[in-house]
Amino acid sequence: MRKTLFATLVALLLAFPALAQKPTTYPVGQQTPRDSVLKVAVGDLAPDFELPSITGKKVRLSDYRGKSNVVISFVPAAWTPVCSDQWPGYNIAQEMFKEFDTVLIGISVDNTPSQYAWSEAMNTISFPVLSDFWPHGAVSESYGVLRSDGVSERALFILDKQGVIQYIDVHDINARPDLGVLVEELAKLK
Amino acid sequence: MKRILATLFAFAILFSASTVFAGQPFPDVSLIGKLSSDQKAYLGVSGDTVKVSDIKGDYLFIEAYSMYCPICQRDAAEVNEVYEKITAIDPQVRVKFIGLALGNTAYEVKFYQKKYSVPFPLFVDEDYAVHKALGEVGTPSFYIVKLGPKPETLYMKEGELKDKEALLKMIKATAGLK
Repeated sequence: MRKTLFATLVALLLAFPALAQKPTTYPVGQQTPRDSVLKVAVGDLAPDFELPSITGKKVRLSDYRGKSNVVISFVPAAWTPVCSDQWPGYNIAQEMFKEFDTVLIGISVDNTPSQYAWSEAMNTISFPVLSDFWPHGAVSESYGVLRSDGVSERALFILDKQGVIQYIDVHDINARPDLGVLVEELAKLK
Repeated sequence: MKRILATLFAFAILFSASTVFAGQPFPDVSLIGKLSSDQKAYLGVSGDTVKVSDIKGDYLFIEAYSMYCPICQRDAAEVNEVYEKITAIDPQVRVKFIGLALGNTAYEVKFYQKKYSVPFPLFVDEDYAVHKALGEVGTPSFYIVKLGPKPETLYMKEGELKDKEALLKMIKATAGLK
């Protein structure tokens, strides 16, 4: 009996560190890779929008016209595994985006307080994080990346300085896009 | 009572069996990198794809990380410092350092290496094969491995590097460095 108890305690001690260190995200499981139909195409003028950001200010897409290329990164939801694993990488790559005269904008359908707390948990996301919460998913819908369950796709749009869409990647929602591919596409704008 | 203990034991095994812990063999997986000639010389290997058992040295310090992991980003400078301090007292280079970029592509590895001036070789894991071999461990995770034909895990810690001095002491004590 003592041996069994000892073995159990040792096994539990081994188990708990692994459990404790898992990131605090909601396990969404494997989802349908894509669940929407695009409403825009390469060559189209990107639909304009104005959305609230976590800084408390509003951001209008057309304000960047004539000034910067823009990457719009739609992610499905705050506090979920792949999304929490995508923007922190973009956050440390902003100097690289600047080299391509490009600003990065992040959009999700979460409300601003949730986005703010999530951003802080990810080392403070310093690019604009915009809330497409209300009217719910309206901007995502205008691009054709709103899924039937009310979250957006994991999608990337590259717009040139005229606001024209030059690249679209509606990615498998279950996987993170390769930063290298995005950089290759940005290089084509130069 | 026996039933309860059996259940607890099964629960513990369920959550611990897949992760590589100290005292267990370290998976002798193939590591894919784009190594410079200096990095190949440092590891004592000839190609860009190497097995852990190919690496020449007595001990291997491994940081399993991802460029997308905020904790890894915060820890990067600390890990570099651990490397510098150990290298300074290890003239025979008995302890080698590598990074395993779990789930990261070649571009992402190159980006991270440049961004944080990582002085030791980093390896790609685009298809998560290494991540799976390590039991889908969280990032960052740190290992000290006894090198040889059958690499053995001497130390493993999952999570933020909160006590750099303790880690330095651990590496020194393990490798007999002063």
